[in-house]
Amino acid sequence: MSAGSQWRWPLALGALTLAGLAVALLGEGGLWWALAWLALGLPLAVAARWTWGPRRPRRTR
Amino acid sequence: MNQKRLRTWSAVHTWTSLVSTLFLLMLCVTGLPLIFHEEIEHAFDPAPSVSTGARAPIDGIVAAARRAHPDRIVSGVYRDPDHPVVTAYMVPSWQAAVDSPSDTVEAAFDANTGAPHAAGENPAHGFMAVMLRLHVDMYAALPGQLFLGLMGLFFVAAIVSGVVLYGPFTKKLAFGEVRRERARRVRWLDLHNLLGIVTVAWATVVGITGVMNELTGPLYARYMATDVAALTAPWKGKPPLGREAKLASVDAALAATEARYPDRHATFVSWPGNPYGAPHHYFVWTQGKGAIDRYMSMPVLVDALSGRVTAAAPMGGALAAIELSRPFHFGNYGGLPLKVLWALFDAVTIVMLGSGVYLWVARRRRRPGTQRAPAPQLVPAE
Repeated sequence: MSAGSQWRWPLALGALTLAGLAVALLGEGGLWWALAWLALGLPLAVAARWTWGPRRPRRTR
Repeated sequence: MNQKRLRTWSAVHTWTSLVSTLFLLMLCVTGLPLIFHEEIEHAFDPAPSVSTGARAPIDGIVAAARRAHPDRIVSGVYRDPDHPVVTAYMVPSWQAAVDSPSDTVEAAFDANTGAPHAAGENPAHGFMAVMLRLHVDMYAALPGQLFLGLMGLFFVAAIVSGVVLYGPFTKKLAFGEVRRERARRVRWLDLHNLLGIVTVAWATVVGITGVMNELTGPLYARYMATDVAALTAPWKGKPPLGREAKLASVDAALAATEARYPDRHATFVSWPGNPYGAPHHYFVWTQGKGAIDRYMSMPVLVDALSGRVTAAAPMGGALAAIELSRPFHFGNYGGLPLKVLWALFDAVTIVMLGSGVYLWVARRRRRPGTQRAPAPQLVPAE
């Protein structure tokens, strides 16, 4: 697997987390907070998906 | 990455994790209720105050606190910006405030009426105080803070080394893949990698801000010895203000502060003589009203005899950075849903710590009689 495809998801989720943390601070509630909750909730949702959700079909190598 | 580097990073990850795991578990467990301390304390409050907009004079509240505890000195008064409660803090002596800070009596009053508030009977209050002390310094004051700060540094080192190891050990796996058909150890290894990489940004932020917070004590001491000492230099050598001194009205001091800095709330006042304040001034802590400024405290010095504002003592540099870092550690800045998310991240971290220990133990069991465990610690994906 190329480094790009291996790190694409971790980098995206990391950036989303940091954006959520910042938006919650800079925003004054309302839509900004909702965006922050979404941004921080997505990494957790991804973790739950792969922990308890249906299995990914194994790639053929 | 060659085998030697892999082995080195693996050792860093193993030992920084193992050394700090027990304390990090304690921090995660005590941190959970602390995330919701407002909600928990409010839920157990036997007589929650409802704001009417009225403000009882603080001078009257302080007088009532003194009458209730005539053998003590008022060391400070806190005006809760979010709830209509005023709390007076009283210590046996100024020396005791330093030597035994736990020997502080807190007397709460209704901010609307000035009547005594039953906050002292709140059963959650004592529990939260224990959680806080364990979380901040394990009842060991500054050495405890520095020790936990060191554990936080180990945590950050474990995160960095974990990210480095994530690359080689998941190279042949699709993102999120957990090899459930394999042995339990391999399943937990995949889960450990998945949960770790998904929460890495949050864990890094909370770890670094935790370390920063543990450095508050020494940095605050330096700020008092330099910045505040320079501002109070004209009063140096004057006799201390004893109990009999005729102090200016606290209400007037607070009003003068908020008039001078209209974009800030006055939330806490340290009495003159308080070792964490100034000998001849009310040390008035203010917080801003803006999105970021509300997390930045700025003490204001008010002459305790005249009631006039003499100077502001803004905290610059590292202390200001710590002030701004606090919400990123506490998770209390985006409503209840953010707190729930914070708790979930915290719970994932607990799973991470537990699975890390399990993987270490399982690996040692697999290699009975091995004196030096061969690297890599983790089994690369096949």
